[in-house]
Amino acid sequence: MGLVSRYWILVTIDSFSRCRNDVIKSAQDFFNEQFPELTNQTEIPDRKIQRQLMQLYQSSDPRSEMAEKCLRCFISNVLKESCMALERKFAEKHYLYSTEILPLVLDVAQKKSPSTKDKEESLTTQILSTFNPNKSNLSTWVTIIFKTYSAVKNTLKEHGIVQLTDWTILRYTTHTRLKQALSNLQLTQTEITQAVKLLDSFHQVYCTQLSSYRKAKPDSKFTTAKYPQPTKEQLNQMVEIVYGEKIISCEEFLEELQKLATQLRENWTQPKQKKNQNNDNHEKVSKLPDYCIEPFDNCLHQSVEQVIQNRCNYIQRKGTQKGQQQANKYREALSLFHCHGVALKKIASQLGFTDQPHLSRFLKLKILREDIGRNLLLNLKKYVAELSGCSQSPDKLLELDARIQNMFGQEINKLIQEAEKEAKNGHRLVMKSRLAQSICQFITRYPHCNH
Amino acid sequence: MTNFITDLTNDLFEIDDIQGIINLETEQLQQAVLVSEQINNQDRQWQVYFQCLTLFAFEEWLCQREPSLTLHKEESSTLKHQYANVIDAVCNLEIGDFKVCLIPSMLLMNGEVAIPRAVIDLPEYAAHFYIVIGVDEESEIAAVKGFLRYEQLVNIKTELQPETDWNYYIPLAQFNQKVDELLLFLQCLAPTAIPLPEIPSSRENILRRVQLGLLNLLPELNNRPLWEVFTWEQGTAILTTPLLLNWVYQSINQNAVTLTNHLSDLLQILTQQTVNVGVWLADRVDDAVQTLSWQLIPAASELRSTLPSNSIEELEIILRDIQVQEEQLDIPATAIRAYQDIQLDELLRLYAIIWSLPEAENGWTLLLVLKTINENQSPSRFRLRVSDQIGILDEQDLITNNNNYIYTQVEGNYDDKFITTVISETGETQVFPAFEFIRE
Repeated sequence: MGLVSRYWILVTIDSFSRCRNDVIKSAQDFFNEQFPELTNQTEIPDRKIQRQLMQLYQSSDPRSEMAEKCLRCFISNVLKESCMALERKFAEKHYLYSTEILPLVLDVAQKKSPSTKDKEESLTTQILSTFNPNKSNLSTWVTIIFKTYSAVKNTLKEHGIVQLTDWTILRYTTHTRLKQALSNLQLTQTEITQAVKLLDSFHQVYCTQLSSYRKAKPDSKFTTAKYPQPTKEQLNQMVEIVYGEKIISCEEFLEELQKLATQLRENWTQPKQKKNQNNDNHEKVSKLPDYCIEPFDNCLHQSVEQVIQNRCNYIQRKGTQKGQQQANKYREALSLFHCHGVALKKIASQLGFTDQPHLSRFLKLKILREDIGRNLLLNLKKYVAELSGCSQSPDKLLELDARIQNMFGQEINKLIQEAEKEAKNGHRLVMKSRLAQSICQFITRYPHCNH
Repeated sequence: MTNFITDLTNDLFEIDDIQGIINLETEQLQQAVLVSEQINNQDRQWQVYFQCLTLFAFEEWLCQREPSLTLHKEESSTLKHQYANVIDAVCNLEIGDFKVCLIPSMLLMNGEVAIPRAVIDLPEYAAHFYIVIGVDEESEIAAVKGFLRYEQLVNIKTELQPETDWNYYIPLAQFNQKVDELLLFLQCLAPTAIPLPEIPSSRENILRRVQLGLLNLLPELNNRPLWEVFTWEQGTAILTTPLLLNWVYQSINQNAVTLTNHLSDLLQILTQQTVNVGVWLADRVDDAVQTLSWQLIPAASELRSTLPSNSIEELEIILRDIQVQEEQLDIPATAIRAYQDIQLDELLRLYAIIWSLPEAENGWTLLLVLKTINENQSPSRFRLRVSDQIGILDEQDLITNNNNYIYTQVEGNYDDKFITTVISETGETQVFPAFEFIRE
């Protein structure tokens, strides 16, 4: 890594949300003047350059303004690289593209000089104003702030990606878990005892001082970490607890903690093992007797109505206008999908969702089908219990319960599976499954919420 | 570039089931902070905060998926300080007639789930369903990760040993991760289909057995978790006795002698036979009364007793004297009067006068008088202490000269029990069985 041009190429976002790279000639000239020896070198001493630029930037030297330009260029490059890196890792599985994040983090390209307000609110300014060249190099600092920036955090979260920091891991680790994890790694007893001491000191100092991070701070969009890196004072306190006197520096201690967290990380995030749920019993699917079809359909319609209505109520539970708009969008999307066979991707753009995953997270179709299935079973039971007067006898009711489960359980599974299969089909036709049709009927009958 | 990607993304974690994610709202996060700040034990605040997030997330999930089910959280352990102080789970929650217990865990962790053995092994806390809730505080999201029915959990548990921290560690993979089935059960199953164990009637025996150990160790707990100090048997006694849990919570950040004194009184109240003065009122000369060494004095109007009349007259004089000092004090004629002579460093007499308060106040009162019997001795000092289940109510010193007496009056409702202790200067102690008033 390490291109000198990162100090004079500025990456910005234009008015069409596109990313653009501009060579800032004045910055380039300034940079070459300050670091003439670098022109032909392949190894770039970033740390040294940044220290020097920061010194100039923070001084009252007339060169301060140019130093700031170079630093801002560098930051913008690292931000862009970070977005690209996320795309590379998460595009395929999580539909995360750099085009979604770049506009959140980069400054907007402006012909005139930006207003002070814009400057104050920019992520670049925040990074620059909190950077300490003696503590880390600038690219590390950029990525740390980048990942805790609320807009980035929220977007990642929307795509199902969340950060698990070393400090969260250590906070949640108990003695028992620590010992289990470390003996799995075959550490010696002495090493484990030392690790326990380390963790204890961390808990003692760090965890009692956390509550200030729990209170919502309205203007804290840049520092949203609930478990921030321990401060120097905290580290010094921990060193004193573990070693009595100061025989190691707080930087060394920080590294010890980070090493411990890394050891625990693997143990924590082992892939989920799916339990064999014995789903593969291919039982013969029997056909529902004729006399059952009508009650089944009635209960199905009833369940569809209940579940969709519940969902609408939930979306607009706060009584806000936004909630109501969302609820209407929900119905419209359901209608487009189930009655008109429109593909999710198209619905998403038609109704103003960022992308298809965004719409899917909103519609939660899988959960909708499951909820309908479950309520269907419940309604059938109520229906049959009323009919047979079983509700007075718990034993009879239990027996009935089992029989209904037997009789309708498969039918309901079939219903859901059909609808699912149909929904997956990319070349959309109007949906024909009974569940889809029932949803369509209901939505057509009551196109507005609060019918 | 590869290094850069690794460095940037190595602490990012991917969530599989994104549709099942519950977003925690700002109000819920703030509410959790508020609740956690109310607990008077700094070491537990974070745990309570985490439990609140668990509880609110589950409530949100239920509301989203099946609004017909209502969660009753008023009695939940998390919202009661004495329980939240010692239990790392949200128990005593109810959905309809089902009891549920929420197990807080990390959303991003798929290894083992820690379940406090108290919520499985003690019927007081047992639930029909144990539900693992994963919370990610950093991203303010949560998910229902899995659940087990009581009998399934008990089955799994038989092959496990609890760790020294009084937790069972159970792999998440052993939980039913089809959480929709939980909703189905909650909606369609009868609670009787999952029988829960009865609370054993032998709880008091355990308490009696470990009483001495508790008296010695509880004052030394100093905010440490129970498992660091007690055996599981001792822990069982504490966890199944709400009054002891109250005591533990009260004792946080203090180590006063009064607390230890009260502990000894409390353990007496909990383990020793009590005197039901309600019986005295109904049947004046009862066998039980004799065996507990109290001598009943008939009211002044009905002098048919064979008792030495000096006690009757003496009490009359003292009561008149007290009523002069306390103008408000109105001792009804129906009040029960009793006395007991005790030998500590000197021969002492304790009078107990008991009556019901007017109907509207719904309670009863106990007036105690302590005096010496032999007047011609060098003065010495005795301490009279009265406690109820919650704390020490009064302490007074008697100096035995000049025919002195001391008195104290306590009031309570019909659930209250009062225990009296007299201690001599040399530390000789006489504890009287606690008084209780069970109305016929």
